[in-house]
This record gives sequence, C-alpha cells and structure tokens, in this order.
Amino acid sequence: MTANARVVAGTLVVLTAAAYLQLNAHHRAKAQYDRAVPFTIVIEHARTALAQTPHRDLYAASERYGFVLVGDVPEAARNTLYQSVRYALAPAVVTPDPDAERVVVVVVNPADAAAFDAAGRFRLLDRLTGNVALYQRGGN
Amino acid sequence: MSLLGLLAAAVFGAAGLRVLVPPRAAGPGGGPVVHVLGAGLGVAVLSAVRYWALLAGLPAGGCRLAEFALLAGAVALARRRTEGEQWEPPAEAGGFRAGRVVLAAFVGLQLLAAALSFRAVGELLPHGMWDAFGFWNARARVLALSGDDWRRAFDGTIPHPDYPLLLPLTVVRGWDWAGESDPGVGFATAAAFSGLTVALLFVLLRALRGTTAGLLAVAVYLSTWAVQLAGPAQYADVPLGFFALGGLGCLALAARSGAGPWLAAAGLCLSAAAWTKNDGLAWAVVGAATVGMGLVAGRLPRRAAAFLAGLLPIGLTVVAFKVGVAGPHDLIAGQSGSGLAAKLIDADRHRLIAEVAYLTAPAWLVWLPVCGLLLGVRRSDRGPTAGLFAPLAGVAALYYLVYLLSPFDLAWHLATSLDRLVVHLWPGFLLAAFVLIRTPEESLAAGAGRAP
Repeated sequence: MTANARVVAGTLVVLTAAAYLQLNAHHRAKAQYDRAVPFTIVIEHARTALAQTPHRDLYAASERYGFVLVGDVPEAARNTLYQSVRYALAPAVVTPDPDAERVVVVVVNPADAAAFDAAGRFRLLDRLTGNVALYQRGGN
Repeated sequence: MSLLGLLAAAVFGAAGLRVLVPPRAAGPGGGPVVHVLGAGLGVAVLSAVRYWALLAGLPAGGCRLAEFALLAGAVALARRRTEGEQWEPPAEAGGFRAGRVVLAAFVGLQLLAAALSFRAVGELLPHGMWDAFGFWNARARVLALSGDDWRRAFDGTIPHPDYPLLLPLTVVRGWDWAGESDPGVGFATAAAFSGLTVALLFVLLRALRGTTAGLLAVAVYLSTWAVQLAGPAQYADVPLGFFALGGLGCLALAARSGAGPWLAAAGLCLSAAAWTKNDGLAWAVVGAATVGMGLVAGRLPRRAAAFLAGLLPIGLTVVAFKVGVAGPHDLIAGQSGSGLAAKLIDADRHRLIAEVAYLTAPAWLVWLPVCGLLLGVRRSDRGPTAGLFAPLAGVAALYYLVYLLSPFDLAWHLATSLDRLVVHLWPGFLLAAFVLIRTPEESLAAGAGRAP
C-alpha cells in the first residue's frame, strides 16, 4: 500500500467511524435523558409553585419535612421522586422519614389525592401542584 | 446573566495563567493552551476562594467584590509582565493541505451537531440528571440559600457530604453573579466545561504535534458516546476530565520545553482535579508519582518545587474541606481488613469488572489501532509517549482497585458509574494516542523517506 493510500484510508477510517458513532451516541444519550424527564417536571412545577404560594413562610430554610409517596412506584423511581422534591424545596430539609410532624406528600395519581385528604390523619397546609402538597400530622 | 460568573472566572484564569506561563516560557503553540486551560483553572481557583470566603463568613456581595478585584489585578499583572512578548506559533509540517481542509470542515460540522445535540438533550433536564438534582446542585442550593447556616449542606440529608465543592460552589458563584438561582447557570457550567475540554484537546495536540493531530483527536472525542451522555448531565465528570487532560498536557509541555512554569500549571490542574471529585485524588497522587519518576529519569526539568507550588493553593483547600467540613467517605466507612482481603482475591468480582469494562469501553478502542496501523507510529519519541500512558494506566489501576473493594453491590456500582470514569480518562488517552500515532503529514513524509 502506498503512503498516500494509507493516509487516505487512515483519515477515512476516522471520518466514517466518527460520523456513525456521533449519530449513534446522540440517540443513546437522548433515550437516557427522556427517561429522567418526569422527575424534573416535578421539580420545575414545585419550584414555580413555591414562588407563587401565599404560604412561603412554611418553606423557610430551617424547616424540616418527611416524605410520603401515595401510589405504586418502583423503588428506583421512588428514590428519584424523593430527590427531585428535596431539590425543589431546598434549603428546607426533606428526609425520607414518613413519620415526621410535617410531610411532603407526592400523589402519583391525582385521583388518589382526595382519598388521602379524606383519611384525616394529616391536615393540608399548602398544595404546591396537583401531585405535591405539604401536610401537618394530626388531622382535622 | 447565567454566564457572568463563568466569564469572570475565565478572564481571571486566563490572565492569571499568562502571568504564570508567559510567552517566553510557553514554547511553540503554548499561547492558546494558556488561555483555554486558564479559563478552566480560573473557575477552579475562584471556587476555592469562595470556599475560604464561606469559612470566613463573607457575605455574597463581599465575595463578588473580592472576585472582581482578583480579576482586575490578574489582568493588570498579565499586561505588565508580558508586555512586548509574542506567543510563538506551533511548528506545522507541510503537505496534506487539502486533507486538513476536509478534516477541518468535517470537525466544524461535528461541533455544530454536538452543540445542537447538547442543547436538545440538556433542555430536557434543566436541573441536570439524577446526581445533579440529587446532590451536586442540591448542595449548591443549600449553600446559596442557607446564609450562615451553610454547614447544613453536609449534615447527611444530601448524599455524599464528603464530595469536594468545585462544582457546587461554581454554581453558587453563578447564581450570585446572576442574582437568582437560575437553572441556566448549571447548564452553562456544563456547556462551558464540555466546550473547554474539546478546545483544550485541540490546542494541546496542535502545540505538541500540529493542527491535523488536533483535528483528528477532536473528531474522535466528539463521537464518543460516554462524552455525549455526560456532557449535559451537570455532573463533575467532564470538569474532572478537563483538569486531568490539562495536567497530562502540562507535563508533556514541560518535558518538551524544560520550562518550570508548565510544571506549576500541572500541579494546579491536578489539585483542581482533586477539588472536583474524590476520583481526582487518584489523579493528584498518580500525577505526583509521575513527576517524581520524570525528575529521576531526567525527562522533566528539575523544578519539583514548581510542581509543589502549583499543587499547594487548591490542595490546601481540599485538605481544609476534608478535615473541617466533609462527612465520612461512603467507600471507606464500615469496611474491615478481612473483608477487603476477601474481595481482593474474589475471582467473580474480577470477572464482573472485566465484563462491564469490555461492554462500556468506547468503540474507538477498535478503530484507533486501525488508524495507527495505517498511519504508523512515531519511532523517535516513544519515551515521552510512554510517559503519557503511564499515569493513565496508574489511574485506571486505582479505579479498578476501588471497584474491587467497593462496599456496594458491585453490578449496581459498575452500571451506574463506569461510563463516567471513561469520561475522566478518555481526553488524556486521546492526547497520548495522537502523540504516538503519526500525523498524515509525517506518514506521507515517511513514505518519501523523510519522517522519524
């Protein structure tokens, strides 16, 4: 093989592989990011609501809440929901403790929210979004 | 507004590194390296300054004033110290002109595609991927919004209280300069480090081997899937890859020019790596060992003090953080000596790591050797090239050891992190590979009996 041919072949190997691999990489990355989208929507809606809620004093930096999830969610998704709510409400602290005095309740199916309210063990303090609300232990 | 904090850091860093590595010490092609590397190092240094400001209880307005004063001082000093000096252009071999034009056009298209992909994918997650809203940006929010109570960020409610603070404090600085906790700051930081890594890989290879080598390396880097995945995630892996590349590149430039200032810059890069992620400690340790061996072998200028001087400022910040504020390291806590020994000789663990590494390795590990066979390798300076591969092998070995001794479920640990470790090693690996592989110009000249 002449030097010219080797150089052309070597350069073509790089260009061809780069074109194919970059296109493939974009599709793989997008698929991964698509899977994470629902939780950032939780963050965004909760933060937007925080900016508008008349009860902003409930979310001071010194406040501490537990986390309750109503609905059937796989363990990994449950943890990610918890992380996204914790981020949205920071610097107020959200721990995994479901027995805390005040809890952030995430209802996966909005139709379950009324049933949760009616159960009476918690008193609603503030509803941030259709799915996310702050409750006080003790009922009505 | 989300770019203001980053721009201030970039200008400060570029000016500062100009003072440290002036044109008379930089060597051929060193100018662009100083400015690109300086931009990233400015982010690292100002995040360290912000940490000390936190410890001192300085309010946000005072921090901004101090940073602006540092910026102004660095620019004034750089002007005075380098007045009248010119940057030496890189040595470029003749031939392959048409090929270089085609390559440049192709890489231009790649850059456009990469930027569009970055934006499309990153806009899906304005707060970043899981670890970003799980702890990197979450810790930044607590640090930024808790006032004097900022140590709550390390009380254990946010995971990994031992993780160093380059990224969270850079986001805090960005919010401070923007006047609000805008998610655009995290996105801009991720974009900045992604772009800077591409630029640094190009300018380093341009300085060491010429423009064509830089273009080839960038073409490979942009098409690596781990890079595309990590870019918009707002994690610390891309910044760590940048500083690791910077450290290796500065060592190569120090070996070429005999200039002590490049050794100081290498120390600064490796300490910045340690301030970015705990994995960066491996880079700092292996980098220091590489410098030691290089000094003994006579391949590096006898300026060990320069390297240590570079390591010190951010290195001390890392130590102060680890000793004073950071929580326990989850990879170490709770492990016993006998448990660790059993893991070392567990064949199943070795096999699992090898399997996942094989599946995660970039496809380029097949195509790069093909490219090397076709273009040929440089025979004349295998020594300096080995000097680049050796620290990479050392860090990879340390990463392997960490997985072997991991307290977590190993399959889970590998699946959730190994692709990101590729992002740390890959830019440095490409630097070493394209220093070793002949450029098309050299290959053509070798065919005519003229090349090394």
